[in-house]
Amino acid sequence: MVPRSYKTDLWIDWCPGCGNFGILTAVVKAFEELGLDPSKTVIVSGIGCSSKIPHFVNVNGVHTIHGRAIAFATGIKLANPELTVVVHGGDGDLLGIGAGHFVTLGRRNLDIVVIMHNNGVYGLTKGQASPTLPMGVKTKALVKPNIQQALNPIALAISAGYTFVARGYAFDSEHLKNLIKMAIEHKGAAFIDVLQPCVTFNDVFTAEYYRKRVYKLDEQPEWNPVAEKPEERVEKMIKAIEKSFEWGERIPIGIFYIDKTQSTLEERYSQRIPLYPSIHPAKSNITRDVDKPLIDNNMFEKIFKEYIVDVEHI
Amino acid sequence: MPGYKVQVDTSKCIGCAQCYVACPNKVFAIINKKSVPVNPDACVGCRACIVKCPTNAITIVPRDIYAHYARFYKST
Ligand SMILES: Cc1ncc(C[n+]2csc(CCOP(=O)(O)OP(=O)(O)O)c2C)c(N)n1
Ligand code: SF4
Ligand code: SF4
Ligand code: SF4
Ligand SMILES: [Mg+2]
Repeated sequence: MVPRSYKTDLWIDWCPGCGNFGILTAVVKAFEELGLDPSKTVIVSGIGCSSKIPHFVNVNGVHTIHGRAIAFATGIKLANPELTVVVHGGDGDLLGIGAGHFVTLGRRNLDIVVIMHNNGVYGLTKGQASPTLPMGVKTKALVKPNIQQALNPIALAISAGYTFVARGYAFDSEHLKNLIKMAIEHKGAAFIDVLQPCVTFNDVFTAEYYRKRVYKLDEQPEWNPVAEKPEERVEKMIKAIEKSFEWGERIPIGIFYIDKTQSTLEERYSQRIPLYPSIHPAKSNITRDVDKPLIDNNMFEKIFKEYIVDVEHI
Repeated sequence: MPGYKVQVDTSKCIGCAQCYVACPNKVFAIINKKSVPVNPDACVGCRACIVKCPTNAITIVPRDIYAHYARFYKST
């Protein structure tokens, strides 16, 4: 296998010191070590500082609209189940405007990975409180302390039905890389909550703050997050959810929950439509004859003539 | 398998430790009043050290990409 670089040559415009650099490093290393085929790998993101990441990784990338990355990714994965699909989004993107899609992916257990850049703020729009910022905390850009409660992403993901749920820390790239590899290899919906310092707007949850507090669940001998049999699920879920509320002097990172007992959405579809996924939309015929598309350019322009506008070329 | 190469030009470094304070990954230590990248493999290329360094002593070069990219990472 020829080692390849998964980094593009674009200038990265995150603020110096931003935790997103650590996440990018981990993603690139994980892809490299798994030797993913760039033509069969897709990063889908929403809107936010974090969502710029597809531009920096040399695989297929789709930078979509705020909150909708999971919806796009669902379509991509169902249309071509042979792809490895990884969603990146901010805490505002995935748990604010996109919370409905986030929960739905858990219920579906579609085989994609969601990596959440959790910085406690809306970084791109100058530091408003995000859904993960605890009540009573006052970060730089807030005039008064946060008046809303935080939600717990790990507990939400587990109760929504995600079958791989983990937490990483942006500046422990080696540990995060391993989590990303495991999440990609897991069959079913996987979620990684990544603690990400935002140097510009979050002066409370800083790199210094996390460095002193994070500890690894995988180093705790008694910790076993895997539900192998259906009868173990509830007990493991409750233990994981309880663990996810540990936040203060010590903050756990690592795998909280793995469920090996649930079928994926692709498997459920293939039971209903036996030809799927051996024949899927990306493999289906979209031409009338050999090289005549169902709708050619002329036909397209005729159908949509009222909607086509000329834009200025720069 | 580090992604970046961190270099400190000791002739420029004044040992002010700004890079040590700024680096989220504790890549530097101050040894004999000079900054030394003691933990270079932990560098994630975030440039926090570069923008803080008052003497432009630090260079971060991505190891695995086109050479022309490197110019973006030099202090100006
Ligand atoms: C539909 C819509 N609503 C609002 C916005 C404005 N907006 C852009 S990014 C953002 C939040 C970014 O926060 P987060 O998702 O946490 O990403 P971060 O920048 O912190 O990485 C908002 C509200 C938008 N672009 N589109
Ligand atoms: S505003 Fe915060 S999250 Fe956005 S690039 Fe800057 S440090 Fe990173
Ligand atoms: S680029 Fe960032 S991670 Fe690398 S040495 Fe400088 S401050 Fe540390
Ligand atoms: S900030 Fe620059 S001058 Fe100061 S210790 Fe670091 S390398 Fe030396
Ligand atoms: Mg955010």
